[in-house]
Amino acid sequence: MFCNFAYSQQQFYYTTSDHQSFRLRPGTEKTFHYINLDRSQIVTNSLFTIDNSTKKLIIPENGFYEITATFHFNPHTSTIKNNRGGVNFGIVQISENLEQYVAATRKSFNGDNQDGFSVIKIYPTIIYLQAGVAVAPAINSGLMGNVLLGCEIGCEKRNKNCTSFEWYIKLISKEDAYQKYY
Amino acid sequence: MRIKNIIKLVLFFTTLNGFAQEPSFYIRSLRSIHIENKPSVIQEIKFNDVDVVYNKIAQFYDHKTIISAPGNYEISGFANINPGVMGNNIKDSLKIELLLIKNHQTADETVLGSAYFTYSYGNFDVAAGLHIEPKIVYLNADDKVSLCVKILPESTVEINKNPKYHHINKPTGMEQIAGVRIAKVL
Repeated sequence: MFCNFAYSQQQFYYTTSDHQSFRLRPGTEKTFHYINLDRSQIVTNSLFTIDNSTKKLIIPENGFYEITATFHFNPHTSTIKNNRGGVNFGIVQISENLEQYVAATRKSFNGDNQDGFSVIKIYPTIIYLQAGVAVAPAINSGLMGNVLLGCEIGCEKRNKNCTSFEWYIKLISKEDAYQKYY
Repeated sequence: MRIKNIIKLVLFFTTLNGFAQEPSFYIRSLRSIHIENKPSVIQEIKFNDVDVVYNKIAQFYDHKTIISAPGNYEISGFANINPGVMGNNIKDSLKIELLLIKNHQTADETVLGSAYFTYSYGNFDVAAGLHIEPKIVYLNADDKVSLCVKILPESTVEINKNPKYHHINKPTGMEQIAGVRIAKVL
């Protein structure tokens, strides 16, 4: 009990089975495609200030944060076989001059998984974030040979209530520090 | 007297909570890294002091991560690897393994966790993320934890042999290169 109390952190947990489709084009790696979040699917939030007008999730104070996430993603294509299929998934830090993944996983698809769902995990990543920056989940094209016209996060028809996207972020230390970005 | 004790207890918890810091270690490379074309040989990925992001449970010196106290720890690691070759044949493949190793190059060397990726024709020059999933292991004080890479012998293609080529690198569109997390299990 003491330990739980001592380490009760400010945290945010979101999980959904919602579907969202994307159009990823080769050579557009600077364009982040953000995941739409729904207030009603926030499971826990003692981290962000959220009300009906909230458009962004803003980091409340300087500190070290730990992030994990899961994407259930289907490229929905037959064009990756014998071609490039690198796609990136992660959590982006957004400020006036910066839009960059602070925790991310590269998934390189091939002929075996080009037309089915894969689970892409962002395993626990610790970063230093400054108060005032926004954070948001996103995907972007990495190195691809062809456009992915209808790729999606979502669930198979036979398992509509799967976790299509999940995100956990918690403040683990308020100690002062400086990290360039990730 | 009772009220005084309750106040003391509340103050104790508040203080504890105010200084709560999760007992973890996280390190990531800010530099790209070269791999030698030596199939079956375990090659250590070297981190530097500047790569330490957060550390409450280990010592880091001489490129080594050394556990400070015995106990159960959750470990995980990743590296983004691009073999940097094109390949000649549709049947060609290249298999690379990423490993977290305890006490590398000692009699007590133990693989704590691993992940591998098979690069196929058309994707030899595309970075793939190799991710070792979190796993709980027991570590002793002074145990060294290393992130290593191994080209598996069943590979039919050689990686880029240019000594200036860095295989562990930022994939197109993201900044992350390689990292390790160790968290004390409470």
